[in-house]
Amino acid sequence: METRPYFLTGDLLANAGVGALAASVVTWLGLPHWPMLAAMPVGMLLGMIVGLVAALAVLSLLFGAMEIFVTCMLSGMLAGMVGAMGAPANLSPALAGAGVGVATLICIYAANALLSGPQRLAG
Amino acid sequence: MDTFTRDKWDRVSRTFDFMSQFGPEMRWRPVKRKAFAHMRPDARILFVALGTGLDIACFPPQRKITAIDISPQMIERAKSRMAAYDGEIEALEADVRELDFPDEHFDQVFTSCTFCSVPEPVAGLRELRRVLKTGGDLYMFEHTGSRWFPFNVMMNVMTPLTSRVGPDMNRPTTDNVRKAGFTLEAVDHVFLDVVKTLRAVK
Repeated sequence: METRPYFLTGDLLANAGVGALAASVVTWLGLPHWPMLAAMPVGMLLGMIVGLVAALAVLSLLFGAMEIFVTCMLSGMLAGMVGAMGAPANLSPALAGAGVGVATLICIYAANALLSGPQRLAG
Repeated sequence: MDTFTRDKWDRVSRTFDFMSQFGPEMRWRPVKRKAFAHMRPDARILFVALGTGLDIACFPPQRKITAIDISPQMIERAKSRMAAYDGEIEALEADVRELDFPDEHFDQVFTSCTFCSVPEPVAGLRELRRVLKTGGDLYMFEHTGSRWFPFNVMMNVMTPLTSRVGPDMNRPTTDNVRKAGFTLEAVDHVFLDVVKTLRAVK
């Protein structure tokens, strides 16, 4: 598990930032006004692309490769979906997206705690 | 020689350090150091895919290492790091699928983010098995595909894009090691089941 403050902070900022950006982009494109069944998959795809581009262009240079690509793409995908559904009335899309990004990161850290470490080999 | 792959990595060599030497390298350095600490002082060691030599900082001192890379431009950029190493590194341009070394030549083989990029990875691993002595060790630090949703879907989506400019993201490297005839001794997941170290024996 990652314990270095630089990378923990980086993961947090990267995922919050990608989530905010993904939700803002899909909102700016007007997806909340689309029929939800169409808006959700399009928002997920756009959000994933936002996460991939942000990771490739800036974030992976600073904070790591796969650890950034995987988390930011998933954060972008989910924040794009939430943004496309329309942020709650009392939240801006960016804030809602940032929250989704942070929540996604926490879930991935939990998954990592389950999956990482020495593996039992079959056969 | 696979000139398509050689030319791709020659092109990538121009930006490789910029893309890799800070975030990715700093993040993975403790794991790489631990993996490469298994390089024995008395062993004849093959290191596969030297790149620009970023991994050299993780090598223990006073080892005698033969390093290969398919890209002459990568090797050229690695020269200053090779010169700074407290030990011996000989770098050769080679395709891991067509090695010029005799059978059972090396005691240990090490790879670092290599088999995400080798076309026909099982053929490359079989060639490593050929040049490794019976009972010799293969140590790998690799990123692979994931068997878990949604990570597996994302890696599959990423691969057509990333393979144009660098590595594949969805390689089943653990299975490939077995297919090549090695016996897997240890697999240690570093990040999810995506970044991992493997130890196998011939």
